[in-house]
Amino acid sequence: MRSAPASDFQPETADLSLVFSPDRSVFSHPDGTVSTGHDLLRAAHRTAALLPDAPIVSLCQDVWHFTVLFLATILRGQSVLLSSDRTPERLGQLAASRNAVCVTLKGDSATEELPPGTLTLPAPDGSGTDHPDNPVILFDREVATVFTSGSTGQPMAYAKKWGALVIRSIVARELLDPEETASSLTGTVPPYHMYGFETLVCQAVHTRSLATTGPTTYPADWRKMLELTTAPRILITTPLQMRALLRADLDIPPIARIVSAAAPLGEDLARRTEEALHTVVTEIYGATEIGSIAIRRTTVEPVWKLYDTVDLHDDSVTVSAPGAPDIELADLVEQRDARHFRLIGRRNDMVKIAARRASLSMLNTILTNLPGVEDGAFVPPNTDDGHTARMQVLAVAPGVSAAGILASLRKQIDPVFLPRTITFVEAMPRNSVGKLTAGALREFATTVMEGQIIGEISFPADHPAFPGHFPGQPVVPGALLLDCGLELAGLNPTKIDQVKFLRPVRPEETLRFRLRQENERRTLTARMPDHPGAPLALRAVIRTQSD
Amino acid sequence: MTTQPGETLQTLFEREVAEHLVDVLQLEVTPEEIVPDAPLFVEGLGLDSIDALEVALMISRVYNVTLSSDDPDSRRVFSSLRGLATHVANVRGKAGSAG
Repeated sequence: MRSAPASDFQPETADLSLVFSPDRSVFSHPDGTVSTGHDLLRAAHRTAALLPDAPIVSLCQDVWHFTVLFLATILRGQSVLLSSDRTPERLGQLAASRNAVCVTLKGDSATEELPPGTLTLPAPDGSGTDHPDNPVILFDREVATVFTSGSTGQPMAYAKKWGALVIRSIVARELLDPEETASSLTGTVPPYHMYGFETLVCQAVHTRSLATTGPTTYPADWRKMLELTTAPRILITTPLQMRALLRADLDIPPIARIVSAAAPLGEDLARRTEEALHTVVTEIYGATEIGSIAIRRTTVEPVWKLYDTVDLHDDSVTVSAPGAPDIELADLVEQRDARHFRLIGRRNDMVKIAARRASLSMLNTILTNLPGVEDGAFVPPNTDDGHTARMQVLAVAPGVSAAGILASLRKQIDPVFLPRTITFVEAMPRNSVGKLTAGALREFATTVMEGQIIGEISFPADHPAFPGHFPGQPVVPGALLLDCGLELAGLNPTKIDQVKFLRPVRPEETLRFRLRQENERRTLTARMPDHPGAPLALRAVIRTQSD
Repeated sequence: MTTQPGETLQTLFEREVAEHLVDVLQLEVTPEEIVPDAPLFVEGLGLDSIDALEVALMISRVYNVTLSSDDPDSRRVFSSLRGLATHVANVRGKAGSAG
């Protein structure tokens, strides 16, 4: 069943010019200058004249550089290849496999290490006063190809047609920036990732929006961009960076709206952000294959609203949109009505860290194909720990060093999926048919990393520690927690190197203690098994007399 | 803070920064195991841009030093433990003498 789009927007009326309304301001720069659409077109025409007649792998990290190169590639009659995997080897391989050329512009803060054969063109030059040619691009012209790791491990290519990008930009703008006054967009996300490409590059090119440019590494960089741009401001970011912005506690100009995507946004973080920054947090749901397709305000609605012109059909499994091939969603959804749905969970084995995706089976295949590795598995991070997500790797590999395995993995997989170290084990907990179930693996990984369970405790509500700690909001005192753990462990410490209380423990909540001993180092941890993901409540590193 | 490049012993301040690094990044090494001149990223501890963000927040919280890409030093900051510690010490030194 195909539901009827609710919108009265007529896709065929969309303006398909290279730059929408070029008299307006399109980018504001770190030096305080502003580029109009005509400046952008002039810079794109100049860069186009220097490009080879081949597809381009864009290495640009700066949104202004990236946009100039993107439009120049279209003017040259070519298309741009986008990959969020930034490993120089992989970018070089991608270019070679598509007869493409890696290109960057001078002055871009790109990767220090460039793939071999990279063409570095002069910095964008938008100077002049003329009105350069602003051609209408055919609706069906393929202007970009986005690559993402498929479940097979081979990168999958998704072609993006010009008309489809324009239409999505227009319907997205009405939802992201619904007010009468146009907002300025400041992004903390890279333009070569589908999220940044659509929400910064395409918004600036296809709609009334002005985007800010500049480095985006640190919260102080984001503040500078926000200071240089005009109100009302929209910040395009991710949950990880949103948390960092709150923790940085910077004095930043008012932000009218924050847009989050790339990873699920917790309701608690959304609420804290709205309160601390007096803003509205909007979350986008999308996928590299099809782009952004739905939106919600996380603090008020668990239900997602589909973008106009985007439809779900075949029992909510398939998404269709004008100018794009139908795709199958990676998530399970439950449709509420024709235009709204709820997210249920992941459909396949994809893991997502820092907006990059990888298939677990692909990662495991790479690991077990390494020389000397007999068996092993990646264990996805427990995102409820409140810490930076990290993969763990367990391996059966007698005679191979952890550093050697790490160095080999680094050549083949994106750094965000690299573990800190390799944990060697004697055997993996495979079942009778040789299958490694997710549950068995997680339990095994916890035991390996944190040791055997030494006991469970909970504190009754009438425990004498609660009245004073704190009145009305009882929390188990950290010292009491640590004492109980040490007693369970039978330890009499002479020195506690490090203690971290990671989560408040309330009356009646169960704590499961584990103890791990490695050389002279004993690590005591307590998790809360009744909470989703069994988050860590305590971690302590201990030395005793005998050490 | 007047250490010579190539010196492998940590200064007291480097040791302190190393302790914070191990803590904030939950590294599997002890603070004293971090070689002051070894690269923190890729070949060394294998840190990446997410870690850079974590370290920037830690430096701001503990030392009240804000890292920014505008800083001409910003490339050197993450070159090594020594680079990071020296940068933090320099910025704090300046702030101290100015105030």
